[in-house]
Amino acid sequence: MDGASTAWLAGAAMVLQPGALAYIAAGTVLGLLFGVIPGLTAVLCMVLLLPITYGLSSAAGFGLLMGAYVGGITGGLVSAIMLGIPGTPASIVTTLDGHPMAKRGESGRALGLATAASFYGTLLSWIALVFLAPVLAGFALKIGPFEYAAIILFGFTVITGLSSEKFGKSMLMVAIGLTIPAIGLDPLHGVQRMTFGTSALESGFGLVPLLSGIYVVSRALEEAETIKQRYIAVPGQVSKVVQQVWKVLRYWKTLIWSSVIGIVVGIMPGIGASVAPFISYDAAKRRSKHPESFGHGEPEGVVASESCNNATIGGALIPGLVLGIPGDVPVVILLSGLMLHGFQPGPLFFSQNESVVYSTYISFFVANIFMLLFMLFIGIRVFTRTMSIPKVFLIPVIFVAGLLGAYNISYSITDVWVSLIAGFGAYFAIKADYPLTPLVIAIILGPMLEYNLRVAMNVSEGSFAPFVTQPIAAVFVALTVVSVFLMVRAGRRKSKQKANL
Amino acid sequence: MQETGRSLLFSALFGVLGLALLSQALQVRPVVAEPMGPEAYPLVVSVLMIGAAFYNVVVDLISLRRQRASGDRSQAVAAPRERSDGSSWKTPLVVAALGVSYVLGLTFVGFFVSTFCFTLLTMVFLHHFERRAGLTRMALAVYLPLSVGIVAVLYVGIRALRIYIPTQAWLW
Repeated sequence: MDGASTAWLAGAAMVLQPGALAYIAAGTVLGLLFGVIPGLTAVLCMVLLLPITYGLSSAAGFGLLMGAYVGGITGGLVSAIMLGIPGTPASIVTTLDGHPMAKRGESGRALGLATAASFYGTLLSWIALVFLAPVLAGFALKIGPFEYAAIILFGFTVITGLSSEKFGKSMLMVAIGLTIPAIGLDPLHGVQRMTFGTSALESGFGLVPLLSGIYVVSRALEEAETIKQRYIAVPGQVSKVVQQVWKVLRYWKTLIWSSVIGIVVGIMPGIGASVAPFISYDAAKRRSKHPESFGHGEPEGVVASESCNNATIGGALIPGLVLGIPGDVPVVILLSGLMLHGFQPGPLFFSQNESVVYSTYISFFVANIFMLLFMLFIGIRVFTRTMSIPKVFLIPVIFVAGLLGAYNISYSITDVWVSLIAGFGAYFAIKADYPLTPLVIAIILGPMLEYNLRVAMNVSEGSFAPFVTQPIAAVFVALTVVSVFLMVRAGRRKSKQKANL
Repeated sequence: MQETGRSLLFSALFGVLGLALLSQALQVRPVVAEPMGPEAYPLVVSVLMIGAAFYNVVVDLISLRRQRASGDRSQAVAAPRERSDGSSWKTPLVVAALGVSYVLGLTFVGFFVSTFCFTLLTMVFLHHFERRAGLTRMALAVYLPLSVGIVAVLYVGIRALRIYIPTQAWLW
């Protein structure tokens, strides 16, 4: 039996246990619930579950997070269709055609199509993950510190260049994200840095308290702003749901194209499930014989959006698991879960922990099956009623759960304070229209960037020449330069357009 | 204009923080001779923070000046969340203040008492902001047992996970 077969069996043995399966199921249901309720997101659910995974086995812990990821991305379709309000940013585009379908009495068909499209999109991205990740891992083993540093720098230019209008703001958030992990002890020699002489800062900031504050505390404060908001679902019976599982295959071309777009966009750091559906929707509209029907209840629009946003999951996992570079914010949480269990994501992760890698694949596959079954047979009817949970109850529960999660890692009240202050800072950033994604990705990638740069400089004795003489590093440095040039040009064009107006 | 003002304040604050961090980074001394020591990265990122903050401050000042010069009222129309509404900023402020009190309570009082008080007070205040009405007996009849219930669920959950969480005297 070859190595891969053995690894599959080892992974299956870890996941296909009643306990691990129960955690995957629980994660999927919680993820769906969080996705359904507007204002709650997959990231929020995963951050709240992250401290719980600390005491679980790796299969159960990753299964819980993976279930929350799949469920959270999918759940947003319910409120997108029934309320016309996306439950998560990933479902914004689904509202364009899903809600009109519900208003004309086809809510069951819309919900069924969207769920089935989500299932097939996730399945296709799972196939891509299983086949592409080992290939990339083999390539990644040839990557040294120069290449790694160049890839991370390129990743930052992609993240900051996503919106040329917010380039300056993204840059500041990247700078803050790079600085935060540098406070405390130096990773190579344990030198104290930027602690202001305070013992509280000597050990730096924990990742879980930071994430808890940035995503949970700030979200509670944001929800408090719109305390009077009420959600009213489209009335009517939800029927003809299950049969959409095979009826959606009528749109097989859209399913495949949208999934491919989702996988490709998912691989690129910082873009992910909130942006990809716009691209696939536009592509589906252009390919359609009746583009004028898009935006007025066209089922193909729903299929394009939902298959794409779920396909980003597998795409984002590819660079995350192989290189340790997250393709999307939920993958940041997953990687945090890996690190909590003592694993270091990166090229060696694949070769040294094959059983864990394959158990992650299997958890992902099982979570997708659970998602489909829950949504079709229970979820759609149950979740349509949970959309209207009053915020009066939600906000204190979210706040407490977030701070408790921050405490749970090191049993330190300092972490709770860190979480609270990070939450206030993130809320202030949101009100000032600063994006949080570059901040969080920089917090994760900053230590890797510093470590690789310093090792690279030690190897080359201070010379930067290998950044241009080593082929892979040179390619990514060139891509970085091109990316910066394109950003500056796009920024100048926008300035000229504004001046002309 | 309000959003630009907040952005300006945010950038300025982090510009000042960047200067403070830079002063700290300048005090880091390497322990071994190496091309890129422990002082290099903090220096670079703090300078990057200052530079990005300065850039944003300049952009925001220019934007504010243009808005004032043109008497731009479209900001108020384009940003409905900035309409004057007593609940839009008071509610998160109250929740934030309760949050600080909660963490102070966790530090000095105890987990279950603090959590019970926090959940009850937050629900009461949010009820007031949501309905613009006083607290009725009916509402209190819901919020009190609900707060007890939340704490009870947490207690059961923490006890159930006890094998993973060491006992803390004040936690119980």
